Amino acid sequence: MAWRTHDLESPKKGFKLIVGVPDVGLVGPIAASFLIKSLNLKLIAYFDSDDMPPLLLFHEAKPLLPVRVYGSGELCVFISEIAISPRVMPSLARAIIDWATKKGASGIIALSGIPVPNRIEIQNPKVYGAAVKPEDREFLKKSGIELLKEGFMSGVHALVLKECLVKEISGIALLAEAYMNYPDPGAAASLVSTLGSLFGIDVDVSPLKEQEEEIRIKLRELMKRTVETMRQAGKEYEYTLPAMYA
Amino acid sequence: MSEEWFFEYIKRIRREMEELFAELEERMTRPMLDYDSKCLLPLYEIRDAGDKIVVRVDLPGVRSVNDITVRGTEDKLLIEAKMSVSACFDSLITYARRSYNFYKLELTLPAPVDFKKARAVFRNGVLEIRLPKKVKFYRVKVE
Repeated sequence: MAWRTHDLESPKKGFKLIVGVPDVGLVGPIAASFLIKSLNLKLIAYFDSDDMPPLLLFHEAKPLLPVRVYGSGELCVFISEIAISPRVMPSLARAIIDWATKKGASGIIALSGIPVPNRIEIQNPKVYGAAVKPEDREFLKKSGIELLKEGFMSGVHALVLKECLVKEISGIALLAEAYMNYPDPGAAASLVSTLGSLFGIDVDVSPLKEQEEEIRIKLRELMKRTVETMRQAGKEYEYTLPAMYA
Repeated sequence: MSEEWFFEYIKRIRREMEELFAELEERMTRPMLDYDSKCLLPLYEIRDAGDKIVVRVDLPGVRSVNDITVRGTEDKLLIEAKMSVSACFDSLITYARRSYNFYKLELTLPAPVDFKKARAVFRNGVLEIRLPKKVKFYRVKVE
């Protein structure tokens, strides 16, 4: 399964690549989309594969591929506006990391959610972290981010970290407590705030909170398709304790 | 005679499988809104929590508990909710020129429930209904 990339502009060497792909509560793409709009990032690359559904997206009358990279300065954001089939996930993760290393990225930050059954009672979802390199884990700990210590992670962000591990590059996953099956802009707001404090990105999340209802209504169809891909991707493994530590 | 029975049995299994796949396909591809009734189908989940069934329904745009009606029998649940804000999908030509301000969801429950003992809470646009199961469990003495 091969991916093609179409570069429109090259990012600045040493950039960080934030990855937001549909998964738990759609928090990754909601946060990624909010960052792209708030920071006024420019479209710099498309990703495409013959294994993707035959779709072309239109936004403000302009044609777009559903999987794209935006960027400005030392920050790039990878976003997918369609659910990724588990069959395509491994090749997509490899393509993301290959593109990022070829362009001189200094690190990858994957954004996603961690499903919690009592989300209905949580006002400010907590953000957990996972990192491939010891120095990144230390950085997260010193910044007050609780690390995932045991358990499985599944989905594109898990495969992105796996590629980072194999290729020995800096990879971090930030996971906000979220609804598994409903779009969760509140959890996405927590992720954006955490990203802001970790990497000095100055973004006001209040518009995201104000648009919460609208986002939840408009993303229902994407959430429905994503729930199906999560089921196929073995998301239930995230509730399983690894045998080594049982 | 036995061969006839066997082929009838295979035909029935095949018909049931086809019906099941058709239902799954219909559920996956069915749009989450109904143009004619101006009604949205909400996202929902049903969880079997041992002695009860927990149903959660995402109702963004609904702001008051007074706008939600929950009705049911021992195996069916009907949820209707009026939104305080209307949803428009003008950028989608198929569903444009109409605003949607109502949710409707009809569910078949996985086990019989005691609907009179059901409890529901509505927080941050999410409705959670806890329905105690009707099935009684008896304790067996372990020797």
